[in-house]
Amino acid sequence: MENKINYTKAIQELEKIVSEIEQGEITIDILSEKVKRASELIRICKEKLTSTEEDVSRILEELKTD
Amino acid sequence: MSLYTQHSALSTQHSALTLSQLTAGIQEVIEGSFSSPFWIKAEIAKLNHYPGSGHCYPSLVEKEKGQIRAEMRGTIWANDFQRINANFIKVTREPLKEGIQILFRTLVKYHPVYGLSLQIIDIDPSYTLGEMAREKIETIMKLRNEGLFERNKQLELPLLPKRIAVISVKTSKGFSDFINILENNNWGYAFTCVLFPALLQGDKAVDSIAGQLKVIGRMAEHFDAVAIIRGGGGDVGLNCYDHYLLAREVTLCPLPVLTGIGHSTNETVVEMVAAYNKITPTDVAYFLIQQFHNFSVRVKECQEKILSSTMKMLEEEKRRWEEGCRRLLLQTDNLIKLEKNKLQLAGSRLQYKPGLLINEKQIRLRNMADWLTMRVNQLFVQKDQQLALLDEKLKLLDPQLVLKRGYSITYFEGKPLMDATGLKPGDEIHTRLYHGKIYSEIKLKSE
Repeated sequence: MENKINYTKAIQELEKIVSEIEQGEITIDILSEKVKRASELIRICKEKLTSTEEDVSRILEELKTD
Repeated sequence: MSLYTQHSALSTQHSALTLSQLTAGIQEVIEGSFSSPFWIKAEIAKLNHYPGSGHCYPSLVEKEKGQIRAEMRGTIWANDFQRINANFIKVTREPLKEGIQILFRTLVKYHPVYGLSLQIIDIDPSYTLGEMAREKIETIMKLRNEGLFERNKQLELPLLPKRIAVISVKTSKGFSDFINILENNNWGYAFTCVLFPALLQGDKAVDSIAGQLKVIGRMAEHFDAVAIIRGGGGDVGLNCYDHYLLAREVTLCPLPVLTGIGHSTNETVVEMVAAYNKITPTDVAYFLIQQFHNFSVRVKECQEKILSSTMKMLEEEKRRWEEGCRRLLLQTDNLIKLEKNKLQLAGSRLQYKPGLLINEKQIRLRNMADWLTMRVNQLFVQKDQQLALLDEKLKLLDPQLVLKRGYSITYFEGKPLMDATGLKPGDEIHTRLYHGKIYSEIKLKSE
């Protein structure tokens, strides 16, 4: 769940930065800081696509004890 | 009826009829009793149309509260089928198919080999809603009245639905298709599927699927979505998906439900209330992958936009900087030109002015020289006059002139005498006169 919120927040923050840059709300002075943050968010999002969220066996065990 | 009489008589004699004698008897009874056609209403559970021969052998059922009460095989001969089906399509815009209720005109037929069947000679297409459809409508109405119908559809599917609780049968083709597509996707998207086995058709499917939905609901935090996957089975027994209890359980599921029940009949109520009905298991799988694509595209778009916007900003900044530099140069150049002109002007003035100055000074010098000459001459004249005056005075002081006027000078020991002190009688003195000298000896002196 936490991860889900994280990547959802990540893309929201990322898209906010994009719109800020596109709207010209970012000055050249803080541009590099924002671009750095954006690339970090892009990395988080891309990782989410290919990373396994939860251990299947853990869920199965929970099923057995259910 | 002669058959029954014969039967009882024969049984007492322990003798037997042949099977064909029996079937001939049955045929005689049935076709004798049902000699004229009837109007019957029933549902086509399965159409069984054979395009090769053109004949159709529909499975006809009657249901009550989801349970099958009666079932009979029908026969529609190729000629009849063409005419009936064409008429049916004309009226309902749908071909004859499974899952529909029909009102048909039929002859009850018995065949010694193929058994009892209903030979359908006409269908009334205006009678389209059968008991199944009515049940379905009732289910829908009930769910709507309870405010549940849209409930599952309102759940938000996570951006990346990667943890899927699958309600299916492990050995079914639908399930293996579904898993294959998800696990062998070309983009490396990671899905976690957990199978919750259940019966997927027939009357028992209602409790089976509903039970698993409840189990999944209790551990909803581990999953992003539920997929009901069925495929490879026939289309009979799907009315469980119109069942109120099952449809209700789907609406109550805390996770979005995706359906891939894989059939060609009308949309079932479960599919209607599910958050996403993708019809086939493969389509559910592709739909999930599409969500990943969508997310991936969003991320890529951000990446590209940031790149292009940043480049644009930097270029603009560079352009501004260059523009600034250009203007600075231009301004500086102008300033330098301006100052240069001033200097040149000042220079040319300087060249001209010293001449003037020199002239001025020269004039002043010349004037001063003139003045000096004049002054000197004046002085000379003055001095000449003074000299002349002095000369006059000097002339008056000349001893010769004094001596001429009767004065004389007495010298003692070569010096003029102004005082008698120191002189004693007997000292010789001499006196100079205007003309000549006299030498005397002092006889007496007085002071």
